[in-house]
Amino acid sequence: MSEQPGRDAAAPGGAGKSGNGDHEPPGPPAGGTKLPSAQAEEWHRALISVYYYGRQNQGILGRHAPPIGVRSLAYALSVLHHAPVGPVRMALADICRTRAARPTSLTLKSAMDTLLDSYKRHLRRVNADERILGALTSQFEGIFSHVPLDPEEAYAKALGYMVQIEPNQRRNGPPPSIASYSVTSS
Amino acid sequence: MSRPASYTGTATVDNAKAKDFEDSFDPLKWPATAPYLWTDTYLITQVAPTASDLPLNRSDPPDRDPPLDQWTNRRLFEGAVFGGILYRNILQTSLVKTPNPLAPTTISLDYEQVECLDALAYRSFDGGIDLDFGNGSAVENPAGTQVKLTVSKTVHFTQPKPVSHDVNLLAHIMVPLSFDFWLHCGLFI
Repeated sequence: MSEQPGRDAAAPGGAGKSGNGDHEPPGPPAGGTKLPSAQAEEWHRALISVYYYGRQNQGILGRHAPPIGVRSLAYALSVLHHAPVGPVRMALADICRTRAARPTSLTLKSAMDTLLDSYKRHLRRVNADERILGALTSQFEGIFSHVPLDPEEAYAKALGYMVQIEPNQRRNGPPPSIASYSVTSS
Repeated sequence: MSRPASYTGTATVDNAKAKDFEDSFDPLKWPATAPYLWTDTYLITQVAPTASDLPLNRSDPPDRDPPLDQWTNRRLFEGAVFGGILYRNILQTSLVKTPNPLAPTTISLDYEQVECLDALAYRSFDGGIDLDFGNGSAVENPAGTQVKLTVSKTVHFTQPKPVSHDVNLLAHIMVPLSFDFWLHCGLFI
């Protein structure tokens, strides 16, 4: 993984460093305001790091060093492997989107494979069998079989595959699917 | 000075209802759904129509009101984590579900910053925000088969001053990420 210029941190699962020694919490909270748990802070930093690395060469982010809170991609992936399924889904879908924008990036491909493994770890807990998980791997690889690929289309496909495989507690009808999605700077 | 980060997102979701996105647009649900983005959110007790409703000592948390299904023009406290920095923000908010909260076909959230409580004792890195406004909506089509999502957000950070440039840079990651969170919230119930 050569595209990892970010600030690094302590071991996965630990509280870690913020990347700025002046900004460590020196004591207990005051006044009853809830503080994030050390785990939640690490999941947060891991998630924003994955989002950062997919965009590090684009727009305003491409003109500056990695901002505070951003970890190395390898570290972020190791934290997310032990995170709840929510941030894992978000990171996996986003890495598909950013990989579509940079289809030759081996780093992003490797990151997608790692996040897919983390996601499948959650699915195994709800008894998804290996045949289904194998098909999921093929689906995710298939997203990138046609290039160039629109990043938002890759994002929608990744979300669609995850929606299809996860049991929904509220709906009886067909699974939802994303017909269109876009985010623009204004 | 860094410019505000301002983004708009749209999505069309087939085979979905507006109600599926209730948790997406209800700020009171966010800390439970995403503790890695929010530590706490609650409606602030209204003291009087003209009062600020905020404690004189801004390090103290504002008084907490019970949760509601929907509301208009109420002040909301949010403890938001942003790049590892905790922001204690006060927003003027409206959460409206029509035609009714039990079976909404339209859900909308509007918010605008009132004040950032940037003085929480014992943490040297708590932050300040001088601009934070936006809205989001989920609108179901008449056939009840499709939902159109629209979200927008503009934000600018002022504190902690030594890293305010970094935090404003991070906003260009976090704002799109928050849109994704709202979408995920509705898709994975």
